[in-house]
Amino acid sequence: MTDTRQFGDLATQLIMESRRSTLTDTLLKYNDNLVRSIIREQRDLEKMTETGQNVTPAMLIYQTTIVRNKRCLLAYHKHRLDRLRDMYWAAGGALPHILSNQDIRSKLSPHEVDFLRQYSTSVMDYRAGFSNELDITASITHPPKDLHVLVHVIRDCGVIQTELGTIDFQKGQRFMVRRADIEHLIVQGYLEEV
Amino acid sequence: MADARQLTIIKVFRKYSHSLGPDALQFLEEILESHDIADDDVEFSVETIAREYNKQDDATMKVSLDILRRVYDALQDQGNAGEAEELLDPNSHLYFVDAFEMPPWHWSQERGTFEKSSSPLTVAGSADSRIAAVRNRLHIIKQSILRNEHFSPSTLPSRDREHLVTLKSTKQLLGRANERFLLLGMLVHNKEGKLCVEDADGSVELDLSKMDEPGEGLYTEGCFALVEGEYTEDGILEVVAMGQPPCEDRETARSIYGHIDFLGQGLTSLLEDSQFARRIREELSDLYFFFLSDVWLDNPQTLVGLQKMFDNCIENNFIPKVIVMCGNFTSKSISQGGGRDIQRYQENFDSLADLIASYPQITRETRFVFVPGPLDITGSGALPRRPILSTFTTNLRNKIPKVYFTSNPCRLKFFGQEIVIFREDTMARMLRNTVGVKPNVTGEDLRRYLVQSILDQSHLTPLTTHIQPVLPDFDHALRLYPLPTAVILADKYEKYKLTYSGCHVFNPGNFVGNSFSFSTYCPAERSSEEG
Repeated sequence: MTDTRQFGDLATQLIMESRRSTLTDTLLKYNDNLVRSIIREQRDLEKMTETGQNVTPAMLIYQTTIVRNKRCLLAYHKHRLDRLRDMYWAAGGALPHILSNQDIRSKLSPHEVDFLRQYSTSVMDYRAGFSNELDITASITHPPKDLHVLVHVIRDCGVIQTELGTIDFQKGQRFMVRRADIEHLIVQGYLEEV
Repeated sequence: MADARQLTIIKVFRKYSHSLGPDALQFLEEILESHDIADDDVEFSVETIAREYNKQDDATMKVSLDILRRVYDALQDQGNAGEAEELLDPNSHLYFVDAFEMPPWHWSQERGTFEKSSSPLTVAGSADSRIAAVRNRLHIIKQSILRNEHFSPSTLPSRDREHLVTLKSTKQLLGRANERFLLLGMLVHNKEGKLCVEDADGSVELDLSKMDEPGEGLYTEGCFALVEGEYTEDGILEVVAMGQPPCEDRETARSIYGHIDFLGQGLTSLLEDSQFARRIREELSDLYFFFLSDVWLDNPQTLVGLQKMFDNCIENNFIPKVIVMCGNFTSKSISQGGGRDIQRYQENFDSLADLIASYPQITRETRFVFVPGPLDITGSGALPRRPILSTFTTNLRNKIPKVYFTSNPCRLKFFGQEIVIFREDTMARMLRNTVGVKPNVTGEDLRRYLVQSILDQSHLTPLTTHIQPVLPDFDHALRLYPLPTAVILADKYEKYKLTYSGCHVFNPGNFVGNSFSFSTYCPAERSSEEG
């Protein structure tokens, strides 16, 4: 650490990290240490503003720093939440699919896991009203043109029961199936549209 | 072709992005069949199961029958617990965790978090696991120190920053004589028999003559300590201050590693924990665990005392949920004894079984846990110790339905609480192996020193392996991180109880010697009382 540090340096690091994460489109590990140091800095700054009896110009600087740090912290967490939400929708609302991935799981803080769980519950509750008519977790960028779809199996998923009977999906095979039956398998990367 | 019922099941599970195999579908249909659910309610019932399934941590895309069955059983338990489904059922949240079944979590320095090791665990251990066990202990203490407010320098640029001593490694000492350093490392004796402090990078010799009094705590060979001192030209650190590492409380540790299932019994999130804690206080305030230590079954007084205890329970209609009996179950060692001694050892267990079975109400409702002590016949002397050999306990198993023979140490998970039970003569062993300075304290202070050292070290036996052999592959079972809610340090030492850093530690004391004394632990209040 250099000695020419100034107020708010750590918060800048946090913002740089979220920027890097957006540019490279990857989820970075939740930076618990940095967040904790910034909160400590906030506490120290708070103490400095309280000690003075009369208002000094320096206080204005402290106050500005406190507000800036707070904004940076909020921005970082907002950015994380946005990423998590994107991830959730990209997986078609399959929460266990995300959480059972050890690589992703190790990058989340426990509170983020709680958030994902509650978010998923809310989505499912919302969906319950019209689940027969519309599947809101389906992709909106590529609307389906046909009721049926030709799929290619990428990962083994064994015998799956569908509304029209059972299908044994084995790696390398091709099937012509009803789209609604296997939509979630495509989203989770078991099948691939041909 | 699927019928209407199957269609509904498939649809509901598809909503949660799960697919069903034929076996899972059949299982669900059987459930619906056995409960006589009308066609209109099918969707609602299946939805409940699907939602619960989705909450499981190991749920896969394709519904697995095992998990589904587990979910169904859990729902079943909740339903049976009481007609007012609001009441908590303590039975479905009470687990006994054997030391040999805990998942191995290792600290990964690169990723800054815990990682599950996939290699199979063996009793012999490997060369790597011997090193890893000690490194884990160091790194876990180190990461919590670096987070501690007293050791992380103020982030504000200011003048007193330069005076602050930050944690250094032994690697940084070279060529910097007459400077002051703060090191964290294990206290050991080197080949010449001199005391040194050893960390991940190297070791340095210590000179304790300049130090007047170390910080509170017991400094044993093999414990990790913070040492501050001046590095001399001769490559020796002249220590001016020595202290135990700071302790991190359970809430802090859980808020960072809450998603790690250290016990392998399913996770509860922080939110659920706080809800449970409140409900336990309100609804289960009359629930108690009994802890007995040194239940010498070869002493005729013991059974009399137990009988008195059971009589009291029945009279006052006060049935404990769990009775934990810690060893030694014999007053003198019989490992060198002959066939007659072993015969008697077994008969003692049999008469205990008869005694318990004569109280049908207790037999039916209470869970009995047996934790072996150092003198009991288990397998080896190394920690964690295996359960008592099953040949001795056949009768107990036959006569008591809810009996558990666990390892030493073992853990008890009750909702969000974690209770560690450890039977070892810790006090004597720690005092015998202190290094450098003997603490000049007795009584209350000494007990506080012991408890503080054990919790600060985040380990049940902060000693080197030649003093207390530990199976390196199972070293994680002795770890106290995150800090448990309660630790029972059953000891032949006199009984005590005290709370340190929010963790309640107590010793039930000798059962026979102290006119049948034992301890009761109340999860609602997180405190113990003498019985």
